[in-house]
Amino acid sequence: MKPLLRLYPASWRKRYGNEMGALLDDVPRGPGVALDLLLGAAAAYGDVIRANRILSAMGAYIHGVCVAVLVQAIAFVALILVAQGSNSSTEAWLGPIHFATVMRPMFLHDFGSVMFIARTWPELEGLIALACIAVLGGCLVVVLRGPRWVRTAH
Amino acid sequence: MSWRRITTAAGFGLLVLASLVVAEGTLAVLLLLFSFVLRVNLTIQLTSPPALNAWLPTAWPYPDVTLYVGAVLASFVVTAACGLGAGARRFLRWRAGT
Repeated sequence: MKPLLRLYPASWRKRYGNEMGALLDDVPRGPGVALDLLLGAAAAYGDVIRANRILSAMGAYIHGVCVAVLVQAIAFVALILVAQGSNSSTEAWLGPIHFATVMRPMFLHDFGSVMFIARTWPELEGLIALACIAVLGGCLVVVLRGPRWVRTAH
Repeated sequence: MSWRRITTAAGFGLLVLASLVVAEGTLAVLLLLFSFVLRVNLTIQLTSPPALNAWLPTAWPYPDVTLYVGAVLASFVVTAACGLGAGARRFLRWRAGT
């Protein structure tokens, strides 16, 4: 277990390293202790980052970028989900700016002398899209709430 | 303006640009993954002919999703705005120990 203490920031190890090492000698080894040490290391790094204005702002910048990427991935899957419920092609635009087009597949059916076009999309795809949005939404909640959870856990 | 400030600003700009490129690359990988899972033919049309075609390796006619230059530019702008907004907010409201 002691090697996990190397994951902590140097300033933390200098102050509490010996004390924590002695404590780990008395504690039985297990995955719970290892997980606790990992969360403790994350919280200790969080404290170091929050104590510095520039590092704190950089952390917030990276956090904001991660949230934006996840939101855009959710928007992409949502666009496909909306297109699945539409009978024609779906387009996304804002004023003169054209963002995306979703074209449904078409088939030519020949019934005797009558030919018509059918647009198809398997119904199962809608459920898969919903599952993808649920997974991405879960990731978004973890990214948004994760830092607070780590802080309150320690 | 001193050279020190100019180089600091240039370094900050390059860092932001590099992180945006990494973020957009990650987003592109996510879109490719979900287009594969949802079985759509994804085309990112930056140029003509398209810069990226992620066609599914089957003959079945799956739906075609085309993302245009506007979507790519809007994605860059939204990602940069979210990141810089969050960073600036933290920088301006920062207090020691919070």
